[in-house]
Amino acid sequence: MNTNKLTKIDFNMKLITSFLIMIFCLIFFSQNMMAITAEEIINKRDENEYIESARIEAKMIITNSGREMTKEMVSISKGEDAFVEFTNSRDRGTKYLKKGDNLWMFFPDAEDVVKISGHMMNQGMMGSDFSYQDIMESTKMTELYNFELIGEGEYNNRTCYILEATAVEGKEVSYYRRKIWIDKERFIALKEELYAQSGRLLKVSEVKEVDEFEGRYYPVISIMENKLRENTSTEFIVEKIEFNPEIDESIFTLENLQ
Amino acid sequence: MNKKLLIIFSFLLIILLSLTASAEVEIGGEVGVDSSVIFNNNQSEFYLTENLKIKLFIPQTKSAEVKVDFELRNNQFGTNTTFKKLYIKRGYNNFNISLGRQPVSWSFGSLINPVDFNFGAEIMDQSQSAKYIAAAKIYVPVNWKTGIELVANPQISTKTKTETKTGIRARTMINNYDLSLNYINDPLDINRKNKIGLSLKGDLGPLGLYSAVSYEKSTKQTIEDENIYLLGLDYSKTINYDQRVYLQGEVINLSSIKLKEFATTLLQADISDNLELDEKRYNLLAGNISYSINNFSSVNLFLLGNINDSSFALTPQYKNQLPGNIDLTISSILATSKNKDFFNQENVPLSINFNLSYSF
Repeated sequence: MNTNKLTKIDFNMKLITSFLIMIFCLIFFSQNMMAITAEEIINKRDENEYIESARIEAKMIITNSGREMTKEMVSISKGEDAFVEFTNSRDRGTKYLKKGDNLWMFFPDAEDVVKISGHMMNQGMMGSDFSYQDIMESTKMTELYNFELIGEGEYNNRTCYILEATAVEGKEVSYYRRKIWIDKERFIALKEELYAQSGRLLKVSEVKEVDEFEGRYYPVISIMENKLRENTSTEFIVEKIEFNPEIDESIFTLENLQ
Repeated sequence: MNKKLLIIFSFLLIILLSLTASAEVEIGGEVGVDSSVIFNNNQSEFYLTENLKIKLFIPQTKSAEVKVDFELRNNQFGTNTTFKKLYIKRGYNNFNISLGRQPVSWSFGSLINPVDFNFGAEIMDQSQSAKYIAAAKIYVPVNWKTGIELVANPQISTKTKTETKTGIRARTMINNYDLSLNYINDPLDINRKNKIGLSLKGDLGPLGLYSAVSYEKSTKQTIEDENIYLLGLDYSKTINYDQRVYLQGEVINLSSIKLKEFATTLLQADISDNLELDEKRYNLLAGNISYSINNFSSVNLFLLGNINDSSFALTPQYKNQLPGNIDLTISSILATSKNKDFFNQENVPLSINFNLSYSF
C-alpha cells in the first residue's frame, strides 16, 4: 500500500516537473522567437536614416574653445552621387560634385573645376569634423559594420537598445568601433561613442532633436563632440529636408558644377 | 583716387545699392588690410594696402547668369579699381556662352600650370590677375564628364591693331583620370604662336598623381621648339586622429629660356638676370606642406626652387580665423641661392606680411 502511495506521489512529482519544464521551454523559446536581433535593429535604423535621394538645407556650427564658425550648405544626393553648394558668406559659391568614387571641387573666385585626389575623401570637409564621405555619402551601416546587441538602457529619458559595432574586415571606415544607443520606439541612434582601433574614445555624437517626415524619423539637430580636444564640437542642423524629390540627372554633371 | 575713377566708382556704388534695395540682389565680399615690412640692405620699408572686394549675387534665371565682382585697392601709391568679373552667361540647349571680363582657367590641380591659357594664372595655389581676361567663352558639354571649351581673347598689339588669342580645351575622364587636351594660338607671341598642352590627374594607390606636357612650336627657323614636362604627387594623412597633414610636390623640366620666363613670372620680378641662356635643361621644384592645427588655424609652407643650382624660395604662412569672423594671415618670403642662377638672393629681400580680412 505504502509502496503504491509512494509510486503515485513519485508519478505526480514527475508530471509536475515535466509540466514545469514544458512551461519554462515554452516561455524561453517564445521569448527568443520574439526578441529582436541586432541586425533587425540596425536595419530599422537604416530605414529611417539611410537616404536614397534627398535635398537638404543644413548648417554646421563648429565650436572650439569659445570660437565659433558657421557653414551653411545645400546638398542634393541620389544614390552614390551628390552635389553640395556652400552658401555662407566666407565660402559662398564653393561647390562639390561627387560621382561614384570621384570628387570634384569648384573654386568660385577663379571658377576652377579641379578633381580632388581620392585620399582627401576621409579628410575634414571645409575645415569641419565631418569628412567628405560623412557629408556626401549615405552608406548602409550593415555594409560597414558587424553588430552585436549588448543590452538596453536609458538615454535622455528614452529606452534604448545598446549595440556595439565593429568594422567589417577590409572595409575603410572612419571609426573602428561604435557603441550606439538606438531609441526602442523610433529606431533612431540617439547617442554614439566612436572609438579608434586602439580602444581610444575619439568622438561622441548625440542627437538633440528628431522630427517625423512622412512616417519616418530623422535626426535634425545632432552634435559631435571631439573627445581629443577640450571644448571642441560640431553641431549639424538640418533646416529643411525633402526625401526622394525629383532630381534631374543634369545636376550631377561637370557643366552644372561650373 | 583720380576724378574720373571716383565718378565711375560712385556711380557704380549707387547702382549697386539701388539694385540691392529693389531686387533680390545680395552683396558679398571682403574688406582687408595688408601690411608688409620689407628688409632690404639693412633698411626696412613699411607698406599698407587696404582693399575692398565686392561681389554681387544677382539671382540667375534658368538660362542666364550675370557675374559682377570688383576690387578696390588703396595704398601710398594711389587707388585702383579692377573688375575681376563683369560678364553675362547665357545657356542654350547644347552649349552655353559667356561674354565679358571673366576668369579663364585651365587648372588641373598643380601648383604651377604650364598648360594654362595664360601662364602665371595659377601660381602656388593663388589666383593671379592673369586669370581674369576680357573674353568670349563657349562651353559645349558632350556628356556629364566631357566638355569642350573655346576661348577668344582680344588683345591690343599696337595703337591701331588688335589681335585675338584663341584657345580650345577638351576635357574628359578616362579610367578615373581627369584628362585635358589644350591648344592655344597666340599671335602676340612672335616666337612661338602655337602651343599644345596635355594634362592628367588621378589616383595612384593612396597618392594623388598629376602630370602635364606642353609643346610650343617655333615660328622662326632660328628658334627651337619648346617642351615642358611636369610630374606631381599629393598625399594627405590624419595624425593623432584629428590633425591633418597635406603634402604636394611637383617637378617641372624645362629649358633655360622657359626657366627665366618662369622665374620672372613666378617671383613677380625680373630677378633672374644671372641666368645664362644655355642648352641645358633645368628642373624646377614646387611644393606645399599644409598642417591644420585645429578647425580654425593652419600652417603652410610653399617652396619653389631650382634643383640644378640649389636655389630656393620659401614662403611660410600661418592662418588663423579670429573671433568675429576675421581672418589673420602672417607670411614671409625667404630665399637662399648658392650660385645665384635661378634668382639673385639679394634681389629677393626678406619680407613679412600681415593680412587681416573680414568676409561678409
